[in-house]
Amino acid sequence: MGKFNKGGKKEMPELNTSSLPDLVFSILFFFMCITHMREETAKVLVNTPQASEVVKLENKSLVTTVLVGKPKDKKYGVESLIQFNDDFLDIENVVPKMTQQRQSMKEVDQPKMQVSMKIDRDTKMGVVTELKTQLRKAQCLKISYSAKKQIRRNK
Amino acid sequence: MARKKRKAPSINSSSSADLAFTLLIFFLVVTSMDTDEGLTRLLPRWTEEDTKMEIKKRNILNVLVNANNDLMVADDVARVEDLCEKAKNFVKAEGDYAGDRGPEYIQASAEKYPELVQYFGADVKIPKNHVISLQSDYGTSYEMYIKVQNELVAAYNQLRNELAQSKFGKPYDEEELSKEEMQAIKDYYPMNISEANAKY
Repeated sequence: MGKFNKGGKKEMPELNTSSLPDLVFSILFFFMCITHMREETAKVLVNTPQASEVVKLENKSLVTTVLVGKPKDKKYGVESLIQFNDDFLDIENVVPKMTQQRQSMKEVDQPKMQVSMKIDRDTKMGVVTELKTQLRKAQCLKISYSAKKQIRRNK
Repeated sequence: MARKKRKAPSINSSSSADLAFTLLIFFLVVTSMDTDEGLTRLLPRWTEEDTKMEIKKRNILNVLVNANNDLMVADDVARVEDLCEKAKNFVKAEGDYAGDRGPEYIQASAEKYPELVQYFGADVKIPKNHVISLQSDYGTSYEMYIKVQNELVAAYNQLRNELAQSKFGKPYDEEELSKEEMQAIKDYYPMNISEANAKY
């Protein structure tokens, strides 16, 4: 008759590892996507205000982001500063930097360039106005006041 | 009957590739990350001198925000909550702005506004010269400024929505209306918000 559990032990089935490359690849892809979308480390504190009528900025490749807020590091003072691509940006340098940024874009996209201003809610309008003037000088006329979506209470 | 020693069957792993792909797709969807949202504006072109425009007083609604974040709408102190309603009344030329005190409604020409004329008829009148002038101060906080801006945009959106509802029976939404219908409604209530430079 049969051998019922003669050895007493059954070998553990081996885990098939042939799909491991797939898994690793997927994680790789994941990280590739993230690092592509990585935003610059903010050197200024930005807490954007809330608004109910916000519009989504669709085409990311057209959008240039400028941050305005108080510096995180106190050694830069307490006044609101402008940050662009990991660096503080003096107000005089806005025009050359923006022009440079525009030239780095594809030619067809250049007229569609859009500047998203992420501005801290406690910033004074003086800085904002100056930045806007410089953007106008740099021909960056499409702007967006970045804000968080909020549901409107009345109506 | 004698049986051979059988090995435990190995787990079928042909579907693990599918699993990995599902994971990948899941993460791809989830990490579309924070899409940027905001109030979009078109700034006027830079000119060396301030361009002066002759605008009739009745066509302007002055909105002022001072350094203490107080709001003034057309010579009166106002609350932010009421701004939307006031702006709507102004653009519609109703309430406080009825008749001669509100903006002029001007006949739209078929060449410039083909969509508008197509849906609203040849003798449609629109407030095309009205301006909401937003003046802020260097000391105004950005949060207040955005609140005011938001109320003004909300006023236009509500007006357009009401118009779309009464005309087409659909909300003012890109997915609901056709391109021409959207354009007609935009033409009917053009968004004219002038952002003056902040004053000291």
